[in-house]
Parts: sequence; C-alpha cells; structure tokens
Amino acid sequence: MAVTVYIAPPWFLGYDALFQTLFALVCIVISAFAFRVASRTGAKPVQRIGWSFSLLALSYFVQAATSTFLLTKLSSGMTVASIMGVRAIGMYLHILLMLAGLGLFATMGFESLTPFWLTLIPALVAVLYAENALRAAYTVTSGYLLFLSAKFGMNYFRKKGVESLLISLAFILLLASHVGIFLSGILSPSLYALAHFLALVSYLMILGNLYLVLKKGGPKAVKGIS
Amino acid sequence: MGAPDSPQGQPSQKRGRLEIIHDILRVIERGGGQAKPTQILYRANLSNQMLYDYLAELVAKGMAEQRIGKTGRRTYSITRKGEEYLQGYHSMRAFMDSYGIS
Repeated sequence: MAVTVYIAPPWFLGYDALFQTLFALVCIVISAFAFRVASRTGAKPVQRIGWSFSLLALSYFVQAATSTFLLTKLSSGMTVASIMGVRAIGMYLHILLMLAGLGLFATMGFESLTPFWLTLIPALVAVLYAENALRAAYTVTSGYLLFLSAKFGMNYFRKKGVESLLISLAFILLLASHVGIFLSGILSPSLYALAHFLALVSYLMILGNLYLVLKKGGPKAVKGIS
Repeated sequence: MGAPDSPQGQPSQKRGRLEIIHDILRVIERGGGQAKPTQILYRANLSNQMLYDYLAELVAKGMAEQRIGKTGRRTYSITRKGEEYLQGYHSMRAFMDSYGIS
C-alpha cells in the first residue's frame, strides 16, 4: 500500500499540523455561522455549506492529529509497521472527509443528495483501487477545486462584489495549494510548505468574506449571530 | 408588471419562499412594527390567497402576531423571532450571494 505523495521540508515538520489546525478552526467558524443562519431561515443550501465546512474541519483535524502523532512517535520505540498503520488510517480518514466535504460543496446547488453520492462513490472507488491512494485523492480533490474555482469565478463576474471575489480567489488559492502539495513529492519539498502558506491565505480570505457578510447584516446581525 | 412598492425598491421577479417571508416581515417592520393585511398585500405584492397562507405560517412559526382591534380589524405585528429572521436574512443573502447560490 503506497500512500506517499508529498515530502515535507525538515524545518516545516510540526508547523504543518499547526497550519492544519488553523484551517480546521476557520472551517468550524464558517460552519457554525452557516448552521445558525440555516436554523433561522430554513435555507437548505446554507445548511449544506455548514456540513461541507464541518467535514473539511474534521478532515483537517484528522490530518493534524496524524502529523502530530507521526512526529512524536517516530523517535519513540513504536514499530515501523504500527506507525505506518496509524498513518494509513489517518490518511484514508482525511481523504474520505475531504472528498465528502468538497463533494457536498460542489453539489450544494442541488436540492437532492443524489448528485453528491453519484460523484462521491466513484471518487472513493477510484481512490481505494488506485496504486497510490493519496495521489489519486489529491487528483480528485483538485478536480473538485477546479470546478469550484470556475463556479465561484463565474459568480464573481456576475456579481462583481468584494465578497464573491474573496471566495473566488480563496478557492483558486486552495487549488494551487493542492497542486503544490501534489508536486512537492516530485519537484521540491519546499512546495509543501508553500502550499500550506497558500492555503492559510485562502482560509483568511474565506474568514474575511464572513466578516464582510456579517458587516452587511448590520451591527445587530453581528451581535445576534456571533 | 413589477412591484414598485416592493420592499427592495425594485421590481420583483419570481420570488422564492424566503424572499416572500422577508418581504412580508419587512413591510410590517417598516410600518412601525405592525401592519394591516391590505398594506402587506399591496406593499409585498402578493395575491390574497398567498398573503393569508404566508401570514398563517408566520404566526404559527412565531415570527408575527395577529391582533384584532375593537372594530374587528386585524393587524399583524413583528415578533422578536421575526426581527431575528430579518437580521439573519440579510447575512444569509450576502453569504449565499458570495457562494453563488441563487
């Protein structure tokens, strides 16, 4: 079972888990806001966004926990087989949650969940049967992110607002970040660190969008929702 | 024909359920917290049937209250939950717009 796809530069070890935890926290904030609004209005697409960000948050937490575990156990007396086993479980769980989160995001415009399952199941089968599961997963998630970048890009050209621009750029950067992680195993380990910085900028943009949205709702809305 | 008196100040196209609820509550809010059914009917640009269906729903959900005056005339007032809906609606619309959900 080969799951290696990226190589982290030695100076970045440990920091990656910190970054992933930050991404998870931003996702939790966005999902909490989406659920709060959805409960007030009963708007299903907003609820769907809430679930998407919840799944992404869980995915990042699993990734961060796996990275931290590996870092702390590599120097301990634990057998290599056990370490690799935990690593594989962590990776597959991270992949599953990431695919589900992005899949839900990509199909949020549909009332029914059928398109979500129709895209998720083949993606999971492809990942499970791939020679390199992580590489396959990053290819699929990059596909989702490419679709979402195009969708949000077109939305920006329709709306021309700062909020839609932030979301559009955030997903383009997330796509670049995924491609960077994918290429770090082939070109340079530094790309792994750069990808995390790009993702951080992306999540800050998503958070910036939330701030602008709350500001648009007025001071009462900020007080009432946050 | 559009709705010159619509709360958004622009002709309304095909409105969704959330927009209609918003428009009704907005009319009530702009009327000082209460409004007569006829005011809501015209300003929110609704048919008679739709108006009473939505008002019944809003009262059932606790977003609006029905009051009957001494002359037997009905008025509707917005509740705290209705105000919260309006606040949530603005944020929700801005949030949905930024993610391209119509």
